[in-house]
Amino acid sequence: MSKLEIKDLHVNVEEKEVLKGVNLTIEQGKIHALMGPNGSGKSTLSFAVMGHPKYEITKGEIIFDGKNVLDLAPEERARLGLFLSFQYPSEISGVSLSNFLRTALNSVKYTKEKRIPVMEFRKLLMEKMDLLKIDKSFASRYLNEGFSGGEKKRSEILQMAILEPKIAILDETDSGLDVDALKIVSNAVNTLAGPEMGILIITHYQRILHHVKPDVVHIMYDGRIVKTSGPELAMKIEDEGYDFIYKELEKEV
Amino acid sequence: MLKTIFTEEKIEKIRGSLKEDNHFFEKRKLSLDSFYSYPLPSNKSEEWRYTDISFLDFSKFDNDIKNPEIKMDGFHDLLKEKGVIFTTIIEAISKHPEIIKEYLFSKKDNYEDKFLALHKAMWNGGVFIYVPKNVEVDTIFKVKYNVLESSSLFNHTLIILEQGASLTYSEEHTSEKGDYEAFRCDSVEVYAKENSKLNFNNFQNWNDNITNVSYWSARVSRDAQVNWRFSQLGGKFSRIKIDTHLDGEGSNSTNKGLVYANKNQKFDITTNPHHHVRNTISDVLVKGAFDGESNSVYRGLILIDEEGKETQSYLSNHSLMLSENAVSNTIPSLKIETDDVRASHGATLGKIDKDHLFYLKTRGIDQKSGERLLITAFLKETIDDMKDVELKEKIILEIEKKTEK
Ligand SMILES: Nc1ncnc2c1ncn2[C@@H]1O[C@H](COP(=O)(O)OP(=O)(O)OP(=O)(O)O)[C@@H](O)[C@H]1O
Ligand SMILES: [Mg+2]
Repeated sequence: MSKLEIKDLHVNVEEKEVLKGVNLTIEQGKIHALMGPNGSGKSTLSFAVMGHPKYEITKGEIIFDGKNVLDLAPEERARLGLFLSFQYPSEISGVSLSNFLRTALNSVKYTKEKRIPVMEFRKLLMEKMDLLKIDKSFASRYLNEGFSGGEKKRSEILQMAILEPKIAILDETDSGLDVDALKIVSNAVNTLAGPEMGILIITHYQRILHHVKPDVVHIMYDGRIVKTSGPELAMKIEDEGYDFIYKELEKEV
Repeated sequence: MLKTIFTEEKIEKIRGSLKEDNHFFEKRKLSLDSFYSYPLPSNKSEEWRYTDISFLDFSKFDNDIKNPEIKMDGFHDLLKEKGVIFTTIIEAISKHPEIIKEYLFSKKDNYEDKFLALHKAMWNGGVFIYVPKNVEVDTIFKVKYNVLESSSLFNHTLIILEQGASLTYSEEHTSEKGDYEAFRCDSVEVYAKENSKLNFNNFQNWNDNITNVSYWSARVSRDAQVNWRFSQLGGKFSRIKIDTHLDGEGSNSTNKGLVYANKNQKFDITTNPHHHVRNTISDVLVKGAFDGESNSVYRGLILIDEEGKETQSYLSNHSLMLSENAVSNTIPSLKIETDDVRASHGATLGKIDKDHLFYLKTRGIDQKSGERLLITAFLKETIDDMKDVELKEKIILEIEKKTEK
């Protein structure tokens, strides 16, 4: 079984320490939620896991499937089965969604010698677009260009559905989704989740967690995970805010 | 030295091989005189300021003036019956001398240029297309030029669309047989009569030793439309100057092109729309990707005459710098002699977006493939609406191949 282990991770962004010792383990088949106030470092953690060059690891380890991934390029991490649904996906003009997805799928699951046959890919794409109720016309549209906020998030999950990662981080995938879209996306995530996939849902809201039930909830504050508990924690935060956490932290100090 | 290479004997020889009549020969002689009298382009003149051609050594080219191999495709009997002509200019000169006489170099250029004069003296081949009134050509006329040897080449393309005619024409330039040095000095002349429509597609992917100097011009009459598309990938040095004369009210032109330079390649592109009368429209979009030690210049001048009220003219140029050592100069400018016009120009210069590349990488796409996707995506905008889909796909493929070099 695959697992992603983050150990005492320290990350600098532009000379500033943003992550100050994060410990987190995500196993295949488990759903984790990560909450925390704005600017606490949730997106930084996801970029660090994927290997964004701007995020400098100053200390700690990221181990996936027993391999230290810190030495690997982002594309190699993706090929091992790590996936990030971006909080703010890039808009790339001139690259059609279907061309992009085919290139990505070939890179992740196929080799230069053996590519996915075009017809097989079309079938797969249509099937997954159905799952996410994305209109077929999006296949030939440019990647995220002019997509609405919600459409971009659906396109991220479409990518996840096609690449079938082992561990997926969904960074505020629920933000910007209307009620129906949230249901569609949650439903898709539930369909894809299972013993084969571990998921880290980064969110500010309880509502996605009603649909996609987490096993564990973590709270990040000022670059650290300061609390880990069961799903009831998310509910408490939605009702009370982060105040009780701050108070607990003060007591500790 | 040029005088010993481009001589009157050469013209005599061309006259002999083309079996042209005296009318043409006399014009050639005049042009040769102009060629001798004009100074060699140097960075002292604005037109050549950014382009140093001192590297040009004519003695390297085979002394004979040759023709490339020409393959033509798309013509059929029904079009022939309707009076459409699609043939080599050599054949046209004996079969349709009157039309050629009427049009060839019939408009005075608004500038003097040594190489254009040379072309007018030495032109010895190329293509002639004539589409009669109201005939819409339902196929794409395709011409494939293949430079076969070290030589000097002076192709001329003459396209005449009568009232209400329409045509899509694609020319493709290669040098498939080897890496020989060659000098091309060609010209394209377009006459688009009232309400006619021409889509002109150009693609070149020569070897790295070919030097090219091209002069394209179009005269666009009332309500007519000329759409230029060019894709410049190959050659050691390639210069194209495109002058679009919007002569008739309601005429309009789009000009979209891409340049992809690497190694020591040099490109020099000019697109000048001339708005001579009121209510004319021009839209220019030129994109370039510059790698290696390449050195390129793009000039775009919007000219609006006193008569050109209610004109719309837009020009934009975008450069993607792929190497610290590549140079790209952009000189957009406006010369507007009236009011009540809408004209704008804009230029941007950037690099590959690191966040875009990272996004692609998180989907398993490696650096090289990511760059290939992004470079192709950037350049491709200029050919997205190309009517010749087969050519478009070929160009995209060649761009992708070039990213591997
Ligand atoms: N590329 C960057 N350049 C500069 N500062 C950055 C960058 N990325 C993150 N930071 C800083 O690091 C801190 C953590 O940001 P991060 O985006 O990880 O927070 P977050 O928990 O995802 O917040 P939100 O809930 O608002 O998405 C912030 O102070 C932010 O300004
Ligand atoms: Mg964030």
